[in-house]
Parts: sequence; structure tokens; C-alpha cells
Amino acid sequence: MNQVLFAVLAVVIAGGALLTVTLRNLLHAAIAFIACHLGVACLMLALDHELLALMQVLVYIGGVTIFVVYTVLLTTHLGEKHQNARWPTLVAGGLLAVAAAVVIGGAAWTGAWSASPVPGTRLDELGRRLLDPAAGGMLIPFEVISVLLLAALVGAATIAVRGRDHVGGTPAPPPDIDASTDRPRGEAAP
Amino acid sequence: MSLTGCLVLAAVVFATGLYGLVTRRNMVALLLAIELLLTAGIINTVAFARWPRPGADAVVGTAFPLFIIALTACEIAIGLALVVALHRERRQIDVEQLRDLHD
Repeated sequence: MNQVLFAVLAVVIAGGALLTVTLRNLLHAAIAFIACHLGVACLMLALDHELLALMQVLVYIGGVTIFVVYTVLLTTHLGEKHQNARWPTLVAGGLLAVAAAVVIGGAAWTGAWSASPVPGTRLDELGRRLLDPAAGGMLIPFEVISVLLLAALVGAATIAVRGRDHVGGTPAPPPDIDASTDRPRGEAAP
Repeated sequence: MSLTGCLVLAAVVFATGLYGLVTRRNMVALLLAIELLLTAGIINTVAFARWPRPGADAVVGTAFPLFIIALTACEIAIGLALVVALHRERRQIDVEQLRDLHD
């Protein structure tokens, strides 16, 4: 039963990942990304880490994917197909991926790993360790990551709205943009 | 379900992300590929938290993915803000058309 469950989850995760990097419509790629992360969340449930499964669903499916879908809709036209690289790059990427999978997977396959599972960490124990200032506690990394997250989000907001305060209120469009189609001149509409 | 299986699965996800990083040309798709690389790291860490070395501290294996997830959120926020800013300035987020950025 356990092996069957793992096989199904592995197919969902690896298949979702493969579709995420190959589908040419980015909205479809984002949906494949959701499937991949649902698989990862189920894998974490099966590995007895409920909190991490919840975080996967909240952060990746609820946060990152929504961000990505918004950006895709802001920057491209609906249903637009995106070009991937030309075939020499595809072959090089495939070779690189196979080499990485063989090297890392081979190291994982041949390693002498522990075979006795331990139950997942209890939530209250994890919370105490995260906020414990004594040695072995993780108070300082926890606070540093909070400050980093705040700084990153403020910075992201600053970068994204920067174009609005050009002189005169509205930013001048770049000169090589065709105003009627909102695309670079000479580029055909899809 | 075993540690080896989880590690091999993570290696496959990592390799897939690497393939996307090399072959994709749209910046949003590149960010999704980077997310896959980090996901492989999370799967690895959780697998080692489930089957730890004898005497190891399993709480660290549970806490570390939380930090990775927070870093991921930072990275995707900054990355997508840069994509939106670039699109506003250039109307273009195809990395092969943006080679003059390094000048």
C-alpha cells in the first residue's frame, strides 16, 4: 500500500514538474505547478509532517501560484503560446538534466542511509525550538528571516510601482511600441 | 516509501527544474523552474527529517523547510516585481530579447 501510494505521488510530482517546464501556455504551466505542489503536500502528509503540508498548500498553491498567474496576465496576452529555446538548447538542457539526475540520483541510490523512520516533530515542540534563545534554539534565524521577508516584500512593492512617479504623472511609452496593439513594432499579434 | 525513493524523486524534480532553467525564454517560466529546484531541496530535507541519522536532531529537519519556504516567498516576490518593472520599461520579458541588459 505504502509503495503504491509513493509511486502515485512520485508520478504526480514528477509529471507536474515536467509539464511546468514544457507547456508553452504559461497559465497551463501554472496549473501543472499547482498539481506538482499538491503532490508534494500529500507526500509530506505521508511522511508525517502535517505542518509542512499545510505550508506547501498555503504558500505555494495559495501564494506563489496566484502571484505567477497575476504576473502572466499582466505581462502577456491570454492564451499566448511562448517560444521555447531552439533545438540545440533543448538538447543541451536535456543532456544537462539527465546528467544531473544520474549524478544526484546515483549518489542517493548507492548511499548507506538509515532505514528506521521516526515520527514527525510535534507542533508545540517545533514552536518552542523556533523561539528558544538558548543554544540549539532557532530564535535568531527566525527573526532574521522575518526581517528579510519584510524587506523583500517592501522592496518588491517599490520596484513594481516605480514607473508611476515619472515626471508628468504617466510614464512615456517606449518609442518603439505600437500604441494600437501595445506590442513592439513589427511583431505580429498572435 | 523509503529514504532512497524520496531522494531519487527529489533528484528527478531538480533535474526537471534545471531543464526548464536552460530551455525556457520567458522570465516568469524561469522563476517557476527556480521554484522547482527549491522544491527538490524541500523534499530532500523532509526525507532526512523522516529517516534521520541515528542520534541526529530531527526538529532541525522540520524547521529548515520553513526557512526555505520563506526564502522562496522572498525570491518570487522580488523576481515577479522585476518582471513587471521590466515589462513596463521594455514591453518585453523574453530573455533572448533582453541581452542588452548587461551593457
